[in-house]
Amino acid sequence: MNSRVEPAVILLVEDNPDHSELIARVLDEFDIPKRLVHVTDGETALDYLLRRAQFADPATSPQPNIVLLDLQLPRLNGFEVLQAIKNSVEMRHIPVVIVTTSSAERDIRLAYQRYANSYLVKPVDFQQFTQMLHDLGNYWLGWNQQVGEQPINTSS
Amino acid sequence: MECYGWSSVIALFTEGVLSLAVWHYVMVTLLAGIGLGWRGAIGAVLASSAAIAGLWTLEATGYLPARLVLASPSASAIAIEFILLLTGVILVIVDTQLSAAVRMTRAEIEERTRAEQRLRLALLAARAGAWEWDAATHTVRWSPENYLLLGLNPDSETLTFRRWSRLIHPDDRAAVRAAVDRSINQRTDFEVEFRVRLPDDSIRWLRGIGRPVVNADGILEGMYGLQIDITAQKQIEAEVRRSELYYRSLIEDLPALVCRFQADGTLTFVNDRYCQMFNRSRESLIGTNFYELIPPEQRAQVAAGIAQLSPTNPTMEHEHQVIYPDGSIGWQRWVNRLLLDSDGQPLEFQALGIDITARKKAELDLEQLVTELEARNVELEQFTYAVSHDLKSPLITIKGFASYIERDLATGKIDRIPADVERIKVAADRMYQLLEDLLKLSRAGRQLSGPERINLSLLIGEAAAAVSGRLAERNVYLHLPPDLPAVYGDRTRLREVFQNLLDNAAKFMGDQTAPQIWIEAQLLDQEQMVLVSVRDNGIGIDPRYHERVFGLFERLNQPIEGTGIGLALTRRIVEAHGGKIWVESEGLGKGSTFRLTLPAPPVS
Repeated sequence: MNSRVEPAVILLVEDNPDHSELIARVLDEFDIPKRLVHVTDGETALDYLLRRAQFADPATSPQPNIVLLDLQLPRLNGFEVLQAIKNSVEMRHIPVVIVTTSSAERDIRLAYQRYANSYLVKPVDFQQFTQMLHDLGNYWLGWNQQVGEQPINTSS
Repeated sequence: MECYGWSSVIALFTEGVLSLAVWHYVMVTLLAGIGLGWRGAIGAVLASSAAIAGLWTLEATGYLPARLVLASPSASAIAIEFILLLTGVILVIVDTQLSAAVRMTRAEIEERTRAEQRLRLALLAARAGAWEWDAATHTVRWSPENYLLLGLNPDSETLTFRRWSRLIHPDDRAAVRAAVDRSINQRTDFEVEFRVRLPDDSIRWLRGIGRPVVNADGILEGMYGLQIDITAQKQIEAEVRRSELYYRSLIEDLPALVCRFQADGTLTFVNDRYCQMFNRSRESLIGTNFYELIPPEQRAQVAAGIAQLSPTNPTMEHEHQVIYPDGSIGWQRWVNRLLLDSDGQPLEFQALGIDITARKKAELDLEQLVTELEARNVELEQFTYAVSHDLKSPLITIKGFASYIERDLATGKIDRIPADVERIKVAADRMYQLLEDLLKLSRAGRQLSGPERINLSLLIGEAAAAVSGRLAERNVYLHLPPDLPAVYGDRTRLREVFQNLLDNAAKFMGDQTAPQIWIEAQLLDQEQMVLVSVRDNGIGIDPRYHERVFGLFERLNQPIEGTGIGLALTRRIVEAHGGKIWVESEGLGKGSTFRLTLPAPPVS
């Protein structure tokens, strides 16, 4: 496992305050330097990613290393957020992990068709819930190699 | 020569033996001329001249005694020759004249015979016999063909009027007699059809025609006419009648409507069932236009179908609506045919139809049922999907925080336990509320129990009382007119509708300092529906979400509590009443207006 200097930025898009609290507590136990950004709806998630409104300053609103995305969200749902990320040249390299309660095949298919990087169903059992988030952190923020923020207007 | 003048010529015929010979020669020549013609006369003259010449030779040579020729004076001989020649010439002239006359008569006779033969042949060909009645002698003359016609043998019996009248079929005798009597009395032609029973017992149909002959004084002299064999024609007529019978019985017994009509739709024939179906008499239908029996909006379509028919494409089928006598609209299926005359020219149209109202209704019912089922299926899928998500969420919360409490108790970190317990309690309440709402939703689609006339103002008043807590909490002012039009439906369910709408309006008042809700309603005359609107001055709804708000488990605004079932439930109840519900809002901060239609009470 490689060690980071910069803290990993995790964007958590979750409308359920209890679930976000649980996820925050589990992530807190990670020994990886990290910064959790929590938004509660799809539109705010895009505002953050596109650095709109209060998220205009890149220093305070750095591009996330990973997006944990719920599907059932107010205003813009998870699929719309996913599509916006994957349609954008600037953002499509960011791994998007769907973390949802839905295990419907339709949702899984729709998510992968929109280029989700992973699809995880929240386990009801808390032991498993914790385990899953740990594994997620180890894999995506540990083993997985990433590129940094794409400079805009790169000539290739 | 004087002495041998006429006296000697006369003497030739009167005196002596020679006179006999002279008479003899003249007679022979004449007979030869009459019997054999001018050639015979010339032959006889030449022969007798030769005989005299022979006699002269014989007498001159002495073989015969010179008694006949030589004894006669030469003048006598010359006279005899002259007479003979003259006789011959006269005969030739007479014969030429005579034979011309005879020849002419013969041609006439031949011509007449031929004409008669032609007539005979014509009569034979026509299977007819001619007859003639003479009033004076009271006899009838029959042409030979009559024997053939009546199956009689002309060699063994003679046709008489009596024989003829006996051959007539007993049932037809009176009619024949009456026709003939009338013809005689009124001096008019007669024509009568009758049967004869032939000697071999077979029956033959004859047509008798006759014309009385009246002289200049108006006295009946007789009658002439024909009798013609019309058995074959009668058989064809019988076949035509039979085929007509088949056709007619088929048309009347067929469990279907049959009609004929002209290109413009004018009826020229209808069968009994057609009359029964429209409860009108045949007389009142024929001459009228069948398009009058079709709803106006379908007429053009029906006419277009019939207009397709042509000699090359003479039949077509279609289904259309009709107006029945009780005013109800039914469905009929018709097969239309363009009837052509023997030249292939369009004559009129014939159509065969059946009533398919029941089938159509079943089809429409089935279609509606399928649509409903499909909608229900989609909803069910959506439902299980959403339920799995929304029921699972509180479980994750409960198990998660319970585990933390357990862990915190073990480590003695008790400061966040009360908050975690609170989260667990809220999650459990939420599950309970969700289950309650789901139950309501499952009931909403079911058959409504006894619809009743409802005072809308009172109903909304009751609904407001039920959510008074929420209204008071947000200090909402409700404008409720006391004289709203009445609606018709299930009281309990409709109260739920307005509870949800009021609760919803109160929930989404945002930071409005003077929250208000206005209720309005009006009767839509044409649709027998009441349009109700619930308007608020709350946060409003972005037009993008106007449809989504009615979806199951759609919560557009997370900080506001709710199960996401309320508006879905409301829509379901309204639709079960045959109404519609929609939302109008210019956007965030502009307030929103929920509009719904509900049935008005039936006019009694």
